[in-house]
Amino acid sequence: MPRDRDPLVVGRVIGDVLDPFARSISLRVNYSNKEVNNGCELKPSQVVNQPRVDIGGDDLRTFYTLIMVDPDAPSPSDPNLREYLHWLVTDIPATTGASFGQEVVCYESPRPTVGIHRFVFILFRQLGRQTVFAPGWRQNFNTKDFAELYNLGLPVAAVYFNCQRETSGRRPR
Amino acid sequence: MLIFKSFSICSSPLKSMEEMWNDINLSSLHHPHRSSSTTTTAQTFHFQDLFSKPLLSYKDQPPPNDVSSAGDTISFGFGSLSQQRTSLSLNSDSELGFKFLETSAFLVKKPALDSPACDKKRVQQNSDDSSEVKRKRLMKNRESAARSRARKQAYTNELEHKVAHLRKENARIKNQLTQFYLAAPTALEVPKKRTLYRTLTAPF
Repeated sequence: MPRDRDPLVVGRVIGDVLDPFARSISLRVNYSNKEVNNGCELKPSQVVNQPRVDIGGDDLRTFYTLIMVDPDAPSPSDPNLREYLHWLVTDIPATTGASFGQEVVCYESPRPTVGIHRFVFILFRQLGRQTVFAPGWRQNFNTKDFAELYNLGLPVAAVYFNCQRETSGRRPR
Repeated sequence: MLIFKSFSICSSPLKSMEEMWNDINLSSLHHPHRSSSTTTTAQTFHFQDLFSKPLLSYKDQPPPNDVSSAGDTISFGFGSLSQQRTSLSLNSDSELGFKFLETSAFLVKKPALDSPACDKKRVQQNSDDSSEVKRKRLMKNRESAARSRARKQAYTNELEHKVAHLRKENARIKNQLTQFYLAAPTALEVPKKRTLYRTLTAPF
């Protein structure tokens, strides 16, 4: 896909969170059998529990780290908590899923209060097993710095969805 | 994004400089997380520009402020400064690609009147504040609109890409299937369902 048509670029995920990278491993995220496609909208009630994450690759001895962040916390027009870490799973063997890894930071349900937030899943290849550790806190997480700190290199896959506060009674546009 | 508070150029150059420096400090306090380098270069540009042009006299008609945008940095050139009160805001947020000519609407020129200096200043500041608030709101709305367009476009691109990918995969699988049919037609014949055959009938 040409660079400027890539949904990750158009949606500013590449820019706000990540540097340009080449996808090399498949990453499938499913919330109750609803697959996450870039830029799709999900309701907070649909993403309360952690999704099923399946990754590709071929060698079971290669381990991957999955990061889920909200770059629009607390509000997209003033993201002073960018990025907010929602989930961190390490040591995921290739061809398996997040349930086979180590949940280093437990899944926190998205609960956007103001504006429409992006929630980004990023997959990194680890150099070895048990080489990635939890940060001190969730807010103001920096994926790029984190990757540099633990020698994760550039991402191998990423996908994101949009989510806003659920309103009751208002007719959707 | 860097937003300058409005500042007024009074007749006494010394006072105006002080005011301007104060205003700059205030705005950088409001936006500490923005890169300081862009702040300083933008500021430096302005002040050098300010000082390089001689202050014109009250009578002179000010030439229109020329506004140019170049790549990432958006810069202003000042016209006349004396007796002219200009309020301006600067936005160096390149990703949104603002056409900076639009900001000429932000420039409000008020001729100096012969009312007392402090009253003038207060009125000035009130209207500056409200126009400042209005400007901020306008910027925020613009950004919000840009984000909304980007969101829509990103989703559309993703769907188009998926459709193309699925179409290709579909074609490939169908092709494979037809090739299998051609290669071994007999193997695919559904074997006749085996029914139960009697081997012995009860004598009674």
